[in-house]
Amino acid sequence: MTLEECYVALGGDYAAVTGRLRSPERVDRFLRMFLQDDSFSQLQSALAGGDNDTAFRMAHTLKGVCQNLALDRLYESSAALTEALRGGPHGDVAGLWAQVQQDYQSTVDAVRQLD
Amino acid sequence: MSNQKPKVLIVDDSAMNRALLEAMLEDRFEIVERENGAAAVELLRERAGEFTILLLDIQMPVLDGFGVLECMNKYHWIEDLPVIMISSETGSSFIEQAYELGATDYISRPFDEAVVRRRISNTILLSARQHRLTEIVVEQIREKRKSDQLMISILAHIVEFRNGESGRHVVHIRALTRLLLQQLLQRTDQYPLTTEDITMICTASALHDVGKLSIPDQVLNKPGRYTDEEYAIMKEHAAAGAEMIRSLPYDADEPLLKTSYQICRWHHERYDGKGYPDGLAGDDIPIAAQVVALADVYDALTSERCYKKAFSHEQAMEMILGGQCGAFNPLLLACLQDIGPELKQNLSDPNWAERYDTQTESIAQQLHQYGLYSTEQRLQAQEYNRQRLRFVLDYSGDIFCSYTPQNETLTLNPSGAAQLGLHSRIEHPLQDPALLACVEPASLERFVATLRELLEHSQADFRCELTLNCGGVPSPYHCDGHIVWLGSEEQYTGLLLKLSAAGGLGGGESAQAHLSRTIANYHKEVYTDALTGIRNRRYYDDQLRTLTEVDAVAMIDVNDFKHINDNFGHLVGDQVLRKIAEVLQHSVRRSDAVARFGGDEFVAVFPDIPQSKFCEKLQELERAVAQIALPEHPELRVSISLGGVYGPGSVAEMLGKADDLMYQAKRGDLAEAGKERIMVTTLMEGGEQA
Repeated sequence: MTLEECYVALGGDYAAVTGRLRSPERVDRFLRMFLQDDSFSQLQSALAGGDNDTAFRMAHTLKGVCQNLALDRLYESSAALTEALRGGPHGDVAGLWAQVQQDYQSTVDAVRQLD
Repeated sequence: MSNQKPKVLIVDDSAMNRALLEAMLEDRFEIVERENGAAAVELLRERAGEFTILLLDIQMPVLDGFGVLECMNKYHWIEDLPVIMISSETGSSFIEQAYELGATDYISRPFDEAVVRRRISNTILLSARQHRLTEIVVEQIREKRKSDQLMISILAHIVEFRNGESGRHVVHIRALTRLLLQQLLQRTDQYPLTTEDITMICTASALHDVGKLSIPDQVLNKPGRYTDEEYAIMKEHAAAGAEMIRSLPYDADEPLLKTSYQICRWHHERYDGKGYPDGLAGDDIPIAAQVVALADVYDALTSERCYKKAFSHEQAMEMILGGQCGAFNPLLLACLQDIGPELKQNLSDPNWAERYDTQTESIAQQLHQYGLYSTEQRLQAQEYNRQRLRFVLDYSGDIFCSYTPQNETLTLNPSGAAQLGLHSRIEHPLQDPALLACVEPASLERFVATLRELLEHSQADFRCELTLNCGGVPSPYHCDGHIVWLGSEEQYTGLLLKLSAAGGLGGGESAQAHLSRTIANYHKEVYTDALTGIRNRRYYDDQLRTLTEVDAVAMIDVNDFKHINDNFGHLVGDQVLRKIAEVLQHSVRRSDAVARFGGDEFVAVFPDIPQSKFCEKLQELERAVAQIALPEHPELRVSISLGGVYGPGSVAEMLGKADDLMYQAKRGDLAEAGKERIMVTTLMEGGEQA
């Protein structure tokens, strides 16, 4: 899968990210680095352990990383979760978390299929 | 040298984000990263001066971006290190809060390489420009003040010489006026005086007797007692001086002129209304004139004049307080008594007044006025370095030269120039006959050839040998050289040389002893805290912080010190700090060190102490401070919070942790009154015990 195809598969904005980061090589490098980013797994364990402060911060970090890499689909669901966790959980945290998990999986799957 | 890339500190908890920023900046900047606010503050404590810019995330564990900004304000780092905030928090309250805390700019996610780079270079340019402007302003203030004071001093000296006085009187009055006014401000806010006003009154004080220019010489310098007529003529000098000022073709409301007028006209008025020329009483006499009148009398009494010997400080005080030399505002007499001990001590030093009258002091005050704190610090640092350099150069016995190719000028240190019998400044040295006679031709030729080669290969450091004719005798010298390359173009900007006699000339036993004594005195002066008399922050920075193997470190902070200042006044606050310093100093062992870290914070370093003793020692410090009592304020209670870290480790590292613990101890106490305000931790086990 090419970089551009990958962005289509994960629901991101390839033109925007190459515009901001200046080179496809750099986008490729950081996209692969995303697989090592632990904000998702830390978010998962914080939610499981009921540690809302950490959960909020990790959702916030995940959102920021997605924003920088123009991973728009995951950005949107993690942004919604961040707001639901800000200042203590409120609203449909479980539903939003399920969406984040699903979007994270599809993003990671797409990145793993890169050439 | 300046070929290093500017350093950027990136503080963000996400490694991905840091890596992204690094990729965008690494070609032009050296990047240093920290993953949370606390780690950033710890780094800045040591190395704030190294960084050109700080990129700071807001949401972070341990200490967030706002917390970092607060610390940077507390320690004044914010004034020299511009901060750009990064975050996806775009809510305007976040941005506003960041600006309020001193952030310079704001970058929101997602990062765009072009935007990030542009923002950073703009911020760097802006802060460089600001520094340059600040320096220009400072220079102008310095120049203006210098010329004001110079003109007034010339005029005042003319008066004094005509008067048969020494010329010291003006300098004394200026210093006494400053001391009295500063004390007056401590005692009351009845007179609305700014530091600017004080400086102006001191400057104008020099003109108080300018009217004596109009008094005929035979009256002015009459050796014996005045007749009534002569005294009447003499008294005219007050009104005459005021008239001189008033007739100047300048706006009479100009503050310096207005103040000068008041001082000239009314410095012989009496508080009881029996003075001259107008018989004003009480506070109808402007405060500037009241203060100068008192300063005038004190200095006249304690100085020797052609018609009298100098009185001692005690005699002068007795005469003034006894009403033998005029009638003064009781508040000013109280101020005079307050500063009495200082005045008495001053009289033993003929040049005492210069200490209060330096250019730097008035500039420093101007700087406070304009809020140019960091520039002032820079000026002081420059001055410190200049003095340190001069000290080292003058006492080493070596010859130091610096050469600037731009104007082809060679400069020698004074003692070096004297050794060689040369001028300390030589233009076109290779054409200067005196210099050529001093250096043996063949060795000079070798030196010049070596230098050419080094310049061609952009080398910086070198060693060679030179033969110099010292008093006609050719003597071998070792020459250490350093070529200065500056600017982005790496231009050849200067040449520094150190010449030392190869035979080991000069510097006998007594000179060595003298040198080490001078260094000891110098250390004492530089490393003593002026208020408390114990070691100061500079001592910590230079001598303690760098120690690597110590057993324990404690951070000590006075509880509710602000409350003491607010309720009892700053003088009592100062007294409390002195007491605490004294108690701490006495309670530690000789091998331990106590220093005033800043404000109401103290630091104690224990190079060698068993762990159990350390806890006991801290408890002992707390108890000793709790027993401090001021007889004048029996209701005043003093207590401290302590954070202790038991190592081993480096002082700097341990102090950071001790600082955190001290704050925990302080907070914990709010919850449980009566609990000990001590927190101790041991680095090895990581366990904490109260």
